[in-house]
Amino acid sequence: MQIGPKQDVKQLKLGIGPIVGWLIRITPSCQDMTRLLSEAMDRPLPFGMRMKMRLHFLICKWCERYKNQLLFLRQALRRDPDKVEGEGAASSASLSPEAKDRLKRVVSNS
Amino acid sequence: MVGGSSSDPEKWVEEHGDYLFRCALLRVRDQVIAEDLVQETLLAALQARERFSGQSSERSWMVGILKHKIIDRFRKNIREHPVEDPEEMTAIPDEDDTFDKDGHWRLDRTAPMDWPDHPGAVLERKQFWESLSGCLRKLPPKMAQVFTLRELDELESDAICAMLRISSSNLCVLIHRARKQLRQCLEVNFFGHREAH
Repeated sequence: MQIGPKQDVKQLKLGIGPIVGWLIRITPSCQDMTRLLSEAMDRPLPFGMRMKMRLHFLICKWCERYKNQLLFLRQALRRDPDKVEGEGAASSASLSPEAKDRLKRVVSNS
Repeated sequence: MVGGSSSDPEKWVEEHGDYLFRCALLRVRDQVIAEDLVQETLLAALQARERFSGQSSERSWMVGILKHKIIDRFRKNIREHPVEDPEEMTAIPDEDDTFDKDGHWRLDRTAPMDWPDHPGAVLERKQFWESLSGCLRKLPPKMAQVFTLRELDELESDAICAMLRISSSNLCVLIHRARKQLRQCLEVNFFGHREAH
């Protein structure tokens, strides 16, 4: 019987398997996590729930990515709102020439 | 000292018209209403130009006026057309297949990818903002409305609920769906193809 890295990993997995299973049972599902992570951006969640969410991150890198990506979006939008509000995409809509003429008439007549 | 007085109102239309229009369109999703809001904004700016301090740029001053006008409009709409069924907005189930039956990510399809670039570097890229604007425009109107109020205008949730007369749980659902859809859209359109995890 060989003893090598592979087996170490196997043993390690056996060792932490029950813990992972337990964490899966006691923490919210990923689906619930996405809902909770969004909610946490708008209001403080109870301490117990925050702890459960942190435990979930131990077994799920995807939910942690999800959280970081939502925060990244928030930071991006709040840092540079101009970039989406006005300049935005090259394909963005603009006022028609008629609308511009009408607006000019309105402002110069008042 | 009247900072904005040198500016000709007709020039405002050329200089800021399109910008204000896009800003309004992002929030109201209706060309006619957006044009109307630009007009209201320009007229209000004209009346208030004496009070424009020149501390901020003329444009951000006008964007500020526009945002007030948009919020007034939302309030007025709700007064005139109250939502008959408050649950209507969120009654539609989240029909997507992001999660399996146990509520776990589908690792081959929907699990969030590792967004590669350094975040700061991403923000410098024009293409990122184009994708993000495109994704925002794809949000259904109600989601876009609450999302922009919360993330762009930085209003508190309670204020948004009061303004739109929706329950906080409805707001939670709408914003959650907006964030989820936006993230997913950006991942597909900007961060690129799905690879093995």
